[in-house]
Amino acid sequence: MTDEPSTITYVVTEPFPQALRSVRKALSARDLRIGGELDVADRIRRRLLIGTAPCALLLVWPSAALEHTLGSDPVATAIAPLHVVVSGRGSRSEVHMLRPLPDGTHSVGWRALSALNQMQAEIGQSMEKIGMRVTLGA
Amino acid sequence: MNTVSAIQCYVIGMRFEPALKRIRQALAKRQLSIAGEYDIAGNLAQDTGEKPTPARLLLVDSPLLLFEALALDRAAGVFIPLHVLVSAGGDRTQVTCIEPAAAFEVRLPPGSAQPLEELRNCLASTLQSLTSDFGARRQKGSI
Repeated sequence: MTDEPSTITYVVTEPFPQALRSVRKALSARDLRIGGELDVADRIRRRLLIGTAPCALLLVWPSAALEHTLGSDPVATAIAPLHVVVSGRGSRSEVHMLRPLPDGTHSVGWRALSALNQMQAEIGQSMEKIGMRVTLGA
Repeated sequence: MNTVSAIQCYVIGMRFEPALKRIRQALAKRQLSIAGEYDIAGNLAQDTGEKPTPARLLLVDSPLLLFEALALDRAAGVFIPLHVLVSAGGDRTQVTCIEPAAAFEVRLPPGSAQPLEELRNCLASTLQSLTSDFGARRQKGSI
């Protein structure tokens, strides 16, 4: 196993409620559909009676064009929607997403893999508009 | 690359709607929650003119394991809940579980590996029990 992280993080210099709105807006601007939203912190609070920092999970579906390509591969269909996690840290927020899948991911057909990575690239580009990508040291 | 455990496929010897009901019951019995559910009939490729294949995407987790996974790094939310694709196949129902984290040979968010594995194992044993109970075969996804 390599030391490369499996996720990408962006920092948005806005408190959580504003950052969440900014993320929704940025995704919509690139025709990325938010098919669902889970209030993770509220869910944990209600089920476990534990208070945590605000955290929401956005479920991002592919555009209509990419959806057709993904539909050709049941595995790729199950990977989508992709998760975009927004979490609050005081006056700023973090956005986490999956790193693009490597080319050698044989469990997914190459066309579907390409579509998934294209979708992730779109998400990344939308986040670049509102935040700064965190680069961890070697 | 650990592609073998990235995909788990199960075949339940029941039609779609009864199988879906059984899956929900089995998950609840194992204290697994369905955090979200999406009707994706028609998303799966099929021949033009054919009726869309019934299919449902379930997002499955456990609040406790979710909390544990997120405790050190919220990035773990990228991998939880797990995705379970339930699709009709005539008199049988296919269940496909995807674990993107298992497809990587990269570092998972701190503190998330164990709860993710526990969730995956619990889900696998739950679905396996359904295939055992309803006389259908289980197959692993191809590499």
